[in-house]
Amino acid sequence: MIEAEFKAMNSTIKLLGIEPAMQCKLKELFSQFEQKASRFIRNNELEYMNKSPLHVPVHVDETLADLLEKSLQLSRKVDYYVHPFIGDAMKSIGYNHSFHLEYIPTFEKNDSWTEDFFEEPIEQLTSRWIIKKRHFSFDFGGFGKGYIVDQARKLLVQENINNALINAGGDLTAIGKHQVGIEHPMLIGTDIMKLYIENHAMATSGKHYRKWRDGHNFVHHIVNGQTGKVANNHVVQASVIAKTVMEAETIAKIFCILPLVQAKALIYEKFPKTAYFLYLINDQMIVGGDATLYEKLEVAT
Amino acid sequence: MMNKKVKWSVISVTSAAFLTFAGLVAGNSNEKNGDMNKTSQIDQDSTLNDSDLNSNDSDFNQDFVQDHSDEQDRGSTWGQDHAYQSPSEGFSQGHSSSGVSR
Repeated sequence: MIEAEFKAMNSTIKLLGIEPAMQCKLKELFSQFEQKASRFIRNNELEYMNKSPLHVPVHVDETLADLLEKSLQLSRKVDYYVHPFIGDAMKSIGYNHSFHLEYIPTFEKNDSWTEDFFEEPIEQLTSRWIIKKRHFSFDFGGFGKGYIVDQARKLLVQENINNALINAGGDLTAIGKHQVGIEHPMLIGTDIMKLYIENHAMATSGKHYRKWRDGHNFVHHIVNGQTGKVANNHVVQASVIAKTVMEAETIAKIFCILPLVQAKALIYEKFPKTAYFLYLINDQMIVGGDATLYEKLEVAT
Repeated sequence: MMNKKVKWSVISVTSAAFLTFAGLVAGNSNEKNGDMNKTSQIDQDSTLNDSDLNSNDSDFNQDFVQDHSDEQDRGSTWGQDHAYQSPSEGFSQGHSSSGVSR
């Protein structure tokens, strides 16, 4: 199969089975989306939303409106443990610019997060107009990457492409049946598991790569949406298979945030068509959920 | 005086009645013993239920699926979790590894 790659959204986007003309369209799609939705790019549509005043109608770009609506649907299903209003908490923990291996954090401690999250800070007048009810900043994070990979998939399907794969920094979608791998979080550069998925998505979230120091402590980029604090459970890395990348991303974050029993209960109730692969701090791996979503699982020994 | 035929008739009827009565008594006591055995079994079942209440995460999915199998059909099949110990080596990565496209 044809292999190609390009850089976008601080990742290398890997493509399988896609002709050069369509590769260019996808590259343009990712680029346009990043220009609008990244909180690390100045003077874009997201910054406009974030800097808009309170209590007045704010117009929302069409793409961001679609992203916001889909993000909110997922956020409500997971009781806001993951949500897109998390920007101030991210700044507070030091995630202020695009991550790289030599990342040096800057911390913007703020008082906007003074109590557990209980209510959406916006009112949606229409799909394209919102009112901000209190100070916060949007950060679509994993929602954004999942959204654009899902949009890319939609484009390929519309073009009658029936055998392809897009891998965007670990968030991947398979059209047709493909073998995928789950990276060993302690042995970077090797896979701990291999399996086949068909017409499904897989997303991986982990605490071991995007991390930095805050004083004597290591912090990472996964934040509990209800408390604004860095997630601190026994899961080092969660890989999840679901129908869409946005859904898989959200569920993977839940596994990284909540105690395991609570996470499984929530996901079983709200997203039963899910399979999960967890790496715990005691170097144990847990595989569970709906085993019909994958085939031929191989586990390294 | 009773003739011999009558005597033997009385004896045989009496014996039959006695044997029937004895059989009934024996049967009743066997039933009682059987109940005691059932009680032991119930005790055993109680013990199993106690251990289920103390079940760990690996049993969670089994109980959870049973509790929810009567609810609306979600068309999903969650089985038990499987646990593995982390390996000392991994597979080589391909284009579709979760870690290869950072």
